[in-house]
Amino acid sequence: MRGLRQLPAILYMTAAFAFIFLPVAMLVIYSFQNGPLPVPPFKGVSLRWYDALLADRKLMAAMGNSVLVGVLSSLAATMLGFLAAYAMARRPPRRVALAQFFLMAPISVSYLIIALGLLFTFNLVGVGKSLLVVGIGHVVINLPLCFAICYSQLGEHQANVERAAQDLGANDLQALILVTVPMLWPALLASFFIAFTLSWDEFVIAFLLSKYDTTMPVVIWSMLRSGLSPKLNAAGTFVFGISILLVLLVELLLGRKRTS
Amino acid sequence: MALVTATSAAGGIRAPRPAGLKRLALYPALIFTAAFFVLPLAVMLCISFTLRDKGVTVDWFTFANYRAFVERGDGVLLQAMVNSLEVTAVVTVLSILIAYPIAYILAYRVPARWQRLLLVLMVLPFWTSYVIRSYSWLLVLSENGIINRLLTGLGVIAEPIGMGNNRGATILGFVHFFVMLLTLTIYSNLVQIKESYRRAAADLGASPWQVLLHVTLPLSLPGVAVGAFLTFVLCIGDYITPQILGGSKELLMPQAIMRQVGRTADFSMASALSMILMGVVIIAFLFSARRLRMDRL
Amino acid sequence: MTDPLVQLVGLTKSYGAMTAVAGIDLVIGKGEFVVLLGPSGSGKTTVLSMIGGFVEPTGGSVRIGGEDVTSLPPAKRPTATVFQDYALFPHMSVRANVGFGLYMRKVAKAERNRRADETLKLVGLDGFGDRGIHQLSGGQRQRVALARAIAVNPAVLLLDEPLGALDLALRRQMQEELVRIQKRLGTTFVHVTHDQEEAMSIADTIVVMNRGLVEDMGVPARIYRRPASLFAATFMGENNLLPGRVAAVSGDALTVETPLGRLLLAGKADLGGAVQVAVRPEQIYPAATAPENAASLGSARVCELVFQGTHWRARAKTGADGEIALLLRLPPEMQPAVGAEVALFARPEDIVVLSR
Repeated sequence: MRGLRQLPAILYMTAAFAFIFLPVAMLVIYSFQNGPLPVPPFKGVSLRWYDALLADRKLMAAMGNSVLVGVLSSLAATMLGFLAAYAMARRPPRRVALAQFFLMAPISVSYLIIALGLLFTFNLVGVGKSLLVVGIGHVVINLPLCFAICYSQLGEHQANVERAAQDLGANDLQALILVTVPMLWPALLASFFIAFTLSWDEFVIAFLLSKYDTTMPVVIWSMLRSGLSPKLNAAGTFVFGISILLVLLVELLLGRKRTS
Repeated sequence: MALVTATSAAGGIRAPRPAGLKRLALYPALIFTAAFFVLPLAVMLCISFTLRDKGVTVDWFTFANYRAFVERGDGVLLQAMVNSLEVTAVVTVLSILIAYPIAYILAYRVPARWQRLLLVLMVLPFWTSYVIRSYSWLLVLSENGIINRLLTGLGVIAEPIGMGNNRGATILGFVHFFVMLLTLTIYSNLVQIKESYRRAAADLGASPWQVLLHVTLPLSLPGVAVGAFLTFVLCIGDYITPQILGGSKELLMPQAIMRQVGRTADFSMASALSMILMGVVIIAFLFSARRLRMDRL
Repeated sequence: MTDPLVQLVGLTKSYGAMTAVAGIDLVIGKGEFVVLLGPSGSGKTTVLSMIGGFVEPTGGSVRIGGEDVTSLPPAKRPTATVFQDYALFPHMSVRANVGFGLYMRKVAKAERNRRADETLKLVGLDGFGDRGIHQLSGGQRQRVALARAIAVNPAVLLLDEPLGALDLALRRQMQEELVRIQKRLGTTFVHVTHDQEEAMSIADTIVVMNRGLVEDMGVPARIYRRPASLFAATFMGENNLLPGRVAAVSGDALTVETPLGRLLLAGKADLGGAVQVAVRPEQIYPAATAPENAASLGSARVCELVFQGTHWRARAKTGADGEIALLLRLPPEMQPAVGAEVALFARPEDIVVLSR
């Protein structure tokens, strides 16, 4: 009887799962397609498209660029976000709210507009398109998230622990490095990895702000013009796979914190 | 700003302000945001009032671009804005309707120790990019795709039909993404509602539907509003999904903006359109902020 | 006892291997103010939840007004609950909160508001109807929670540690109000608390619970003065327990051998059995104030002394090697000193023999 009452819920969740995972399943399954088209019928398992991926010099170089931009921009965003969150504690609430609003504002602006703003501005001062500019764009979009993640883990408790350290004779820097950072490292890592997943497969900013040296999503975009291909599936599966791994890692990091 | 800080410090009535490092730590992020977010937007705002013709600036202050937004090509740009608003409205409403039951079932029907795992699984595809998500839907919807195979196999349709390249496909791609986003925001709101509220309502004679209607739903509105605002903002500003799934029959606002950059390199027009899009988002923000404040009372 | 209203028969709740309530039989009369008293984990809140229908028993049954309600949901039971955290709906006004139950019963709006205001008046919140919940103090919220539960006119009102969040002075005041309201309405109240003073000041009947079982049940004075079990004797107020052995039995009179001497006491126990003898600190007298029929307990040496206004609270050692510790309340006009020997007396009828 209990099971029967749950039936509509179970059916709904099953349908929702099917809806959410249908495209992903198609992407992953047909990346192993032993044939030229990533659509049914499935002609058997093959890794040939992954071989093709690895053999694609341009794609591999772009992947290297993606990782480089991702790591550096995420490091910068995490550091800026953490410092800002750290500075928030024990400030007058009105000024905290103001700074928070200012730092979170980029989240409400389209990536496209952020990219165009940077493009026009750098154009005005004579700075050309480059991976560095892409990286700056990625810091702009990730800074609010990194700030929010760090801020959510820094509470009154943290401020008290810092105060205790200072009471025992630590100066600001010592309290920061010896107490705050070690206590917050799961949040810092989480913020870094989240920023990385968002940076490394970001398209619009990379597309508008890079020139010859470009990142993986831009190359995938140009491959898209020639239509569906299992090689695209393989590339997508690979990019998705890395993101998933990082997100699960974050879940583990923050989940552990939550239970302790 | 520095002056204000100095006077309030001299006044000395405030609580002791954090000294040294703690005060300075805020500035890198503030300066970065000012330099690479606020300044570019200001530059765009200025550029939007200039008029360019064949790559040369011919007028330094004019509303011509904003006028062109309404007038150009029988209002094709205005139509893009209307299209964007329509698509975004439909996507937001559909996503809420689909996501709410998912979040509700997760929060109240699934045993506590499975909730986290199920939630993480449920929103896993959230973490891939618009490009790959949209491409995946292209696979599903293509003429040889799984849905056409299924429908022809079942005899529902005789010939495969083109399901991509239209507004429906764009909406589908968007809804897929935003259902996950809204599931996250609504779920995290629902689990914060104390169980005793629902117990109390049931105790006072409310049926499960009445508990949902009078207690759970009103209390979860902040989560819905936050999710809806994010959905609105991200949806109306996305270029990739309509570009991959929407086909060439109609234009959404981000595509219209991208066109100014790509074909004619008309930065002024692109800036004006961007400002208009931002204006719409700001109006949406003020609207939802007021809504949120009303709920708090 | 008046007409039985709530009957619990063999009520049991276990969570896996853990037993929260281990088969309770309890009859609550109509119009009674019953307090379930026990430490945390004693199962008292689980019993309340099973009466209210929030927890499904794993065994036994709940009957209210002669009807078996064991499998009915909370909404269908003639009960209403005042929750520990009040659970006032934050998005509704005070009046809407109080009227919620009537709304669910499809009472028309005008009538609903009239009755809500009436109930608010009863709990001393006349004119608070239009306020928001967040504008109220803790004590006012408590009253609104009470009003909301009363408004549906339940046969049984269940209160789950409702005063726990209030400060001491407010708690005292609310205790008196609860009793006043209960007497006025004549509704049966079942109140859960771990505070034995609160239990004594409000209850018609106290049910002492421990480890999922009823240890004792009865009027407060009886439970305090003649507890039925060792647990009840120690949980309700302070007590001195002394080991003893039954040396002789004649009818209801026992001769018990204790470290303080041989005492002739009332009670039932097996000859030669080991028992505990309980005597309250305030029922041990020094020679100066000892009643006429008091028996001697020998003397004890005072080793700790604190003046508490109404009495001296003293710890003393006695027995052959001073191995028996006693807690005493000596009269305030006495001038005891640490290290002094005090002769002690107690009336046999104040001393309780406990065999479990």
